[in-house]
Amino acid sequence: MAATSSRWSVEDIRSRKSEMLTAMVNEHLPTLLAGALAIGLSRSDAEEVVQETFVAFLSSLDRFEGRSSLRTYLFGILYHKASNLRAKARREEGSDDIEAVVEARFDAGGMWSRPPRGPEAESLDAEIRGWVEKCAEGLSDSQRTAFFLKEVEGEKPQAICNVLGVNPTNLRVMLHRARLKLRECLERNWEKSR
Amino acid sequence: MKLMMAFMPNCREVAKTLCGDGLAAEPWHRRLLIRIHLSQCEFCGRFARQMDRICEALKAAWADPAGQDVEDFKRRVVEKLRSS
Repeated sequence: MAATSSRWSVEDIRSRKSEMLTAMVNEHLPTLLAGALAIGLSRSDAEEVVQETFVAFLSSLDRFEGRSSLRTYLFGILYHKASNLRAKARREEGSDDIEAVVEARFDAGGMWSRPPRGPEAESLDAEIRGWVEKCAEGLSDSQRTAFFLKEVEGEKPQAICNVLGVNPTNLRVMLHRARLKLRECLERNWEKSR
Repeated sequence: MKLMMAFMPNCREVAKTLCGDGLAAEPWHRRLLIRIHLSQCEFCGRFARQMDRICEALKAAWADPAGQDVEDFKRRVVEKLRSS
């Protein structure tokens, strides 16, 4: 069985020793909770999903073969649980037309016909940060998860693909569309505020 | 100069790179051309800065949103795991 951390192994966890469980929870709970919130869950739902993630991991320890890091393995469980929970609340966003929206900003020669507008201050003020957070709510669960794992956790593309169950091309398109959507949304908010 | 301009990416291509895998994923000569384009094109420069700001904002918002109650939550999870 693969070791999961320099401090403890799967065997340690199976024994359910309090200090080992505490070490595992201390190491991974903050990231999982941050991820669940980033996906868009409320604090109470996020806590519920994180707890369920640990319980699910413990009840199926034998399935963990150590091919991925424990962090991404746990995140895979969390992502599916969070998506299921959110699917009850709202339908997952289908294909979007963000590519067409952005494409319309360029002329036939590839130059800007409708140049980008909006904020670009070196220091982020609270208002811009608030707009971006609000805009992120318009992303799909998978886009938010991909963005969180890549930009916040610095995960490698293959690990993110494993969590989301997509191939590298899908992931690239997902992140590309997420960034375009966020920027378009930011510009809209900025224009509304003027 | 003319030769360089012939290979210079247009605004659409620059925007696509910035929204995609980023400059780091490009070969050095392409990175150089994009940097030159960014230094000369006001709109692409703005687009690039906005992309940076968006990433910074989400990192700040998502990196540690858990806040103060995490210790209590950790204890509850450990208790749950011990009894499961």
